[in-house]
Formats: sequence, C-alpha cells, structure tokens
Amino acid sequence: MTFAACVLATAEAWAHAFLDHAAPAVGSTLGASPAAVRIWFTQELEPAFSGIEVTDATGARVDVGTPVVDAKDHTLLIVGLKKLPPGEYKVHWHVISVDTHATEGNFSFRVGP
Amino acid sequence: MTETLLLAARALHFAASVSLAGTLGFTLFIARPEALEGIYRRWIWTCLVLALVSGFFWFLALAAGMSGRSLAASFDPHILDTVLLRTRFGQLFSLRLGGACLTALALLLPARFGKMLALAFAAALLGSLAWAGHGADDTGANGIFHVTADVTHLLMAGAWIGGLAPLALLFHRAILAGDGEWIEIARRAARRFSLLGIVAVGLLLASGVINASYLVDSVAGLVGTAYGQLLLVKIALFATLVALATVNREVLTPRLSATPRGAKQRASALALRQLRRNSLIEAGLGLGVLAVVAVLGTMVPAAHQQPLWPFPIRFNTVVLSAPEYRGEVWLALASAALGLGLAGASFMFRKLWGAVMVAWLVIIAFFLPSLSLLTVPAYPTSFFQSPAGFTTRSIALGQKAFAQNCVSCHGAEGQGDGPLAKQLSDPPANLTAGHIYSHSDGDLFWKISHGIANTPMPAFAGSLDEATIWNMIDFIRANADGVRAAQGTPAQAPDFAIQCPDGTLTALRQLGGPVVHLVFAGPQAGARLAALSRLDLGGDVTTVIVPLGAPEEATSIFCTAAETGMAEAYALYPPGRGQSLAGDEFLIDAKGWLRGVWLPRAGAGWSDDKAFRRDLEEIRANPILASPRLTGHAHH
Repeated sequence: MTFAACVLATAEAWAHAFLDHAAPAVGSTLGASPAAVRIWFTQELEPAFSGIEVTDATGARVDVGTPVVDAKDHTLLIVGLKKLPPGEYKVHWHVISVDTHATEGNFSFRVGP
Repeated sequence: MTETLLLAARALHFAASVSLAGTLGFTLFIARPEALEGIYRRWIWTCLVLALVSGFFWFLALAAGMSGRSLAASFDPHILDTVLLRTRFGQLFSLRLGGACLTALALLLPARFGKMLALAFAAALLGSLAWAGHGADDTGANGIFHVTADVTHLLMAGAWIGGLAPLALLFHRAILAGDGEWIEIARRAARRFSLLGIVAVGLLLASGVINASYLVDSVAGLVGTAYGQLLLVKIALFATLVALATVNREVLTPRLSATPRGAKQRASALALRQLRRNSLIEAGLGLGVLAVVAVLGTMVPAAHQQPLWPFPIRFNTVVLSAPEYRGEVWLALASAALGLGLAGASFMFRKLWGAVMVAWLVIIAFFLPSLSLLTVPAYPTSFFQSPAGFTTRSIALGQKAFAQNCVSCHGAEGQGDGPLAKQLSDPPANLTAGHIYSHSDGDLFWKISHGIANTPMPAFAGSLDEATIWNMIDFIRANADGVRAAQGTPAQAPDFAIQCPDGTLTALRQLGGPVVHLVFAGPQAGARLAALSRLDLGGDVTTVIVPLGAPEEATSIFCTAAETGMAEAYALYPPGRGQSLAGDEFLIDAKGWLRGVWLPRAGAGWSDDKAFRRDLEEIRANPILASPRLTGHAHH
C-alpha cells in the first residue's frame, strides 16, 4: 500500500495532449512582435489533425501559413505570424494526440508598448 | 452517436481479443478434451471475426472523431486515407489487421504447431492494444517501462479472463456427463487454471499499479475525479473476481472427487455446479472490467483534472518530523498497531475475545487525539492546482484585487494589521506567518471563495471570479516570501516572458539552466548597461533587462522582459517597499530561487565587479537543494 502510494505520488502526468508551455508564454506581454507561436504539448501530436489559429482583438486572423509539427520534436506545434502591432492576441489550439484523443484550448498574449 | 459507437466497438474489441488469446492459451496449456474440440474451435473463430468487425467500427468511429465530422461524412476516401496512412493509430490498425489475417492462417495449419503460432499472433494482437490507448506516448525509457507494463497487463488479462469461458464450458460438459472420468478432467483443469490465475493476478496487480501511476498522479486524483472513481469501480470488480477465484481454489476444487456414490459424490457434484456458476459470474465480471477499460481509455486521465476532495480532513505527515509532536504521534501509531495485532490474536484465543477488544478500544480511545495530529482540515478544492502560474502578471493583478478586498482587515502587507482588525471578534490571519506554507493553494482558494465559518472572514465567490482569486493567492505567496526574505528565507522568483535579440522567445521557468541577472533599467541606465555589456560573466549567466524608460540603443543587445507587473511583483522582495525599482538588480539561480538583490541607493555593491563576481560564485557553489513550489501544468 505504501509502495502504491509512493508510486502514485511521484508519477508523471501523461495521455491526452495538453499545453505544456508556449512561446509567447501563456498570458505574457512582449516588447516586440514575435515571429511565430510555438506550443509544446504533453504528448506527441498527429500533424494531419492539429492546428493553431491566432486572432487580434477584432477577431481577424493574424497567423500565416499552415501550422506544422516540428520535424524533430513531435510535441511542438508551430504557426507563423504577421508582424503584430501592439495589442491583445488570442491563440486557439486544437490537437489530436498520437493516442487518438482530441483536446483544445485558448490563451492570450499581449504585444506591449 | 460516434461516441457510443466508439465505446461499444472498443469494449467488444477488447473482449474479443482477450477471449481469442485466452481460449487459445486454454486449449494449449490447461485442457483440451476431445469432446470439446469442435466447440472450442468455433468459439475461437467467432472471437476472431468479432475482433475484426469491432476493429473496423472502432477505426470508423475514430476517423469521424479525428476529422470532427459525422459518421456518414467521414466515410470519405480522403479522410479514411489520411487516418489510415498518416496517423499512428491508422498504422497500428493496418498492422493489427495483418496480425488478424496471420492468426486465421495459422489456425488453418495442422495440429499443435498451428495453434502455437496462432496463439503467438493472437497475443501480439492483444498486446499491441497497448499502443492504441493511453500508453501510446512511448518516448524514452520511461515510455518503454509504461508500455511494457501495459502489454503485460493485457496479456495477463487474456490468460485469465479470456480462459474463463472455455473453463465454464468444460465444467458444464462435466456436469452433463456426470461420470468420474469427467470429474477428474474438471478437477485437473480447475487446478491448472488456478495456478495460472495466481501468476496472472500477481502480474495484473503489479502492472496495474504502474499504469495507474502514470494516469492518476495522486490519491486525490483517485477519489476526486471521474476517471479515478471509474478506476475504483474497476478495482472493486477485480477484487470480486479474485475473491471468487480464491473460493474456487481453496474451497470448491478440493471437493471434486471421482468417488461414484455417497456423501462425497453429492458434495463433489454440488461443487462442480458451484464452480460452473462462479466461472460464469467471473466471466461476466471480466466483461464488466473490459467495458470499464473501454470507457477509461477515452476519458481525460485524473492526472489532468482538478480533483474534488471528498473528505473533511487530509493526511499531513509534517508532524512526523516536528520535534515537539513526533514522539507522541509515533507512540500513538505503535499503540494502534499493537491494538490491531491484539485484535487479530483474539480470534485465535476465543475465550479472551471480549477482554482483548475492550483493551484495544481503550488504547485507541486514549491515543485518538494524538493520531488526529496526523490530519489537517481539508476542503473540496484542497488538491486543486492553481492555473495562475505565479507570474509577475498574476501577482500584480492579485495585488490589485488584494488592495480592494483584503487590506482593510489583513493590512497592506497581509500581516493581519489592517485598519479594521481591532474591531473584529476574531483577529484576521497574519498571511505572512509560517502557517501560510502549510496551506495548499487549493486550501486558500476554498477559504477565500467560501469564507471561514464562525469568523468574520467573508466569502468572495459571489464578487470575484476564480481567476482573480487564484491571482490573489499568487500575490499572498509572493508577499509572504517578500516579508520573510528579510529573515533569509529564499523566495521563488515570479515568472515572466523573455525576448532576446536573436528572436528567441522564452520565459524564466523555461530557461532551466543559466543564472539570470535581472536589471531594472531606468532613464539613467545607459552607463551601467554599457559597463555590463563589456563584462564577461561566463556562459551560465544571462542578463535580462527590464526597460523602465532606458534608452533603446543601450538595451538592444540584451534579452529583455517587458512583462506586465514586473515592477509591482519584484518590488515585493527588496527591503523598503514602494520605491521605484529603476537601477535595482536581482540574481535568480538555475532553479528559480531569488538569491541576491542590489539596490544602488544602498551602496556600491555590484557596481564593483569583484563583489558581483563573488556573489555569483556564492550562488554557483551553494545551490539550494529544495525545489521551488511547483505550479504544475496550467491547462488553457
């Protein structure tokens, strides 16, 4: 029982791809326009069914190109950005992990002045 | 519709795969009476066909789920193509389809060799399901360990649960025949099968604990999430299965006897009927387990959900190392164990039973207050993980909310000394005292949201949203750290985004390596920044500038942090709060501990390179071994 409790207490969280961290970081403020949105997930992704959309305060899309899964790191999803003027931006991601589970989420970031 | 089809197809596929491998194993290693060969063969082929059909519907339901279309709309060559060829599940599906065909071919081969081959393919078919579930993330040694446990779990389920149907059939045939020869066949099969069962149960338990550890990361996750509770249902079903199997092994099988008549024969006939009944119940329970598994595999695992703690208390083992309580608690634990031992012994000495029980109750009652030291009050949200992330932004927002809602009682610095404090029936808590560290973020969340009964602490759930309350908790933490930093307690540095001239975009907690030298650069910072640009501090130091009006040409060669709340959050740590941070510098070590601060108004300090290098060396040489409070994965 103690063994079970120890194992249970120290384990890592897996299964279903959730956002692990992102650049720009979730909720962060940047001094200048970033070139891309990169999101690292907790699990490897199915490139064919995973995507990111970035919108400005008016709801207009500011991402460019097709979102791609990094060739070396299959947990990293990247989409390019137009040059962003200062303001609040919303990121919506929807992915399917290699264990077939669909997850999605939102976060925002700000470009300063 | 898609979801129902998916669950039904998964359940049926698991059951068919388990039964296919289990029955093949049974006929090879447990028993294969000639009279039953035909029916066993038909059963094996039925399982194989069911596995194929259910596998097909599973694939279809997944294609619909992945493409986000209806079932009918996903029946489109383009989508099926993409899923089959360009997803890991599709590739696995093709491989398993091939495996099923090979199983069928092997079954057509003559005699025992064909069967062995068929068993190998059927086992591969069953074991490969590990990659179709939560274990699919097989990166690194940890992943291989998880997948090994998963495969073992599946194979053992096949050997045991999958063998129950042919076993029940054998018992049924023996009851119909009713002669000594069949009783002997049944007895031998039952004994062999129970031996297999012991091995299977042991391995199922071990691999099950390993699997659970990956998907349920705490006791709270087990009792407080839908995933964990369903897992508990599975464990209960499994325990019932094991109990029945134990009765079969210890009580019923020994009663089987080939004696032709008399009391022994009647007992044997009854035991055989009970064995058949139990095996059928076990097979039913096994189906229940597999149905639960089919659902579990599509749910969000407990490790990714906020668990609702169902009990009013939780364990707190801190007292076991607290010198003033430790002796008392260990004595109480030892006495309770002794009492339990006595209670157990009383079963063997029936005459003393009453007296021993009374003695045990007295011991327990006497030590109960000490044992209760091991628990602390808990709330439904006690094990919630804060989504706020302990960033400068969350702290600054939290500070604003704190100023509007809390300072009148708790005081501007949270020390319980607000203007209204003296008028209150209960003094407001000092939020910088040591006890603040023994409350989880989730504990604080509950107290702020729902107030504290019979005290003046009101509930804020109606007036503040959840995000604001989590931000407030981040501020309370940073504030307590800041107040206590004066006494030498290390503080966890608030997180912030960092942008570097080469385009790199990162955050303090993602750096994971260098010492960060944080410089708040005001309009007069030009000279200091020029000096820093000439200073070679070594590759393990990254200088990050917080622009507070510094000339742009001076900052352009450094990484910068323009995060909201930088000035507000970092102002909490140096002595003499409320002053402008312009010119102030901080050192943050590789683990994220705030290790040093230099305020130019307080003296020459780091403007002397030697003094600065000495402080850096001190940080490198004496790392703090503890990890800062983890904030866990934030789900957005």
